[in-house]
Amino acid sequence: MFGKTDQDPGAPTERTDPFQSTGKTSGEVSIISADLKVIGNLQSDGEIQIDGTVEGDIKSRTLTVGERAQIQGSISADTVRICGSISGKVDATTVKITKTANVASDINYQSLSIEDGAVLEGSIRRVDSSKPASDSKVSTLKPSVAPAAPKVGAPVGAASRGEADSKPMVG
Amino acid sequence: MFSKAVGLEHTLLGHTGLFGPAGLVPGAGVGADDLSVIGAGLSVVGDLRSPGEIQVFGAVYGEVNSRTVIVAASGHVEGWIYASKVYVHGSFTGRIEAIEVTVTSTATIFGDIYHHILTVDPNAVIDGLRPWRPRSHLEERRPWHPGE
Repeated sequence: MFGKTDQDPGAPTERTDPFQSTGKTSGEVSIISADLKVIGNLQSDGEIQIDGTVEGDIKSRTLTVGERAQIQGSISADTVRICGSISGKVDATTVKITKTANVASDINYQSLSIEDGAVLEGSIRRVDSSKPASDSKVSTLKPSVAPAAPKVGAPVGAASRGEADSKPMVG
Repeated sequence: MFSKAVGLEHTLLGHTGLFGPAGLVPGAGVGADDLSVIGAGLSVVGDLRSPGEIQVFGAVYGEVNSRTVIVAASGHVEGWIYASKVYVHGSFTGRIEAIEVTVTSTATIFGDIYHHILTVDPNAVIDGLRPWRPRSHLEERRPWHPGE
């Protein structure tokens, strides 16, 4: 796998190099690749691109659900672009659903676009608020239990719904 | 925004072929099936499974099961790592089981490292046991594959 990098003569030593930096260049965008399966929750204050499988909830600023992605769980983000399959609740300011998408979700949005050809089942509700329903401050996620990660069976849709309902209604 | 990602590709990997010339195309897939990046702002509570490579710049609390796992200097993993190769530049708490483990000088590890080949740079902090195991023993524990 690192043989690839070795081909580049200018590349510095494979193992020390880019991973040392804590700077902005490194790891700015998160990528869940097609063969990666995540069982658990993701929370980011940045950008996530998902092409793999996620069983759990996702909170992010910007989220792109790739064509091959499969997500079971609730999504809350500022901006979501959906090209893949999702089931679970979606809470976002801007939702874009492209033609390859297969969405079985209830969607709360402020701005929505659905491309011709998209498959969509579920209720769609406009949240009329200056803040998105998901706009609770993104804090660092800490495990509720020790490293032994919870095997997520059922997404915590109910919990996040209650939270979403109670927050932005004022104003 | 995706131009950033192209830059990332350069800095991270030192070569350009991975994502293709178009860089990251939203929705089109990144073109690199085997590289996943847990970015600096991302926390994952749960398990990660991949037959490919996972680079952690953010935080993971749970089990990581992959061919190659890289914990970057800014990265933090708490839990178990099963892999064939593990590179730790950042902080790790828990247990590593891997054939090849490389711990660099910026790393801080609390926990045990089950390994066949272990490389530790000076100044690395390792608080735990470092048991050697035959390759076959570790291979048995090795990654999950899709379809499992």
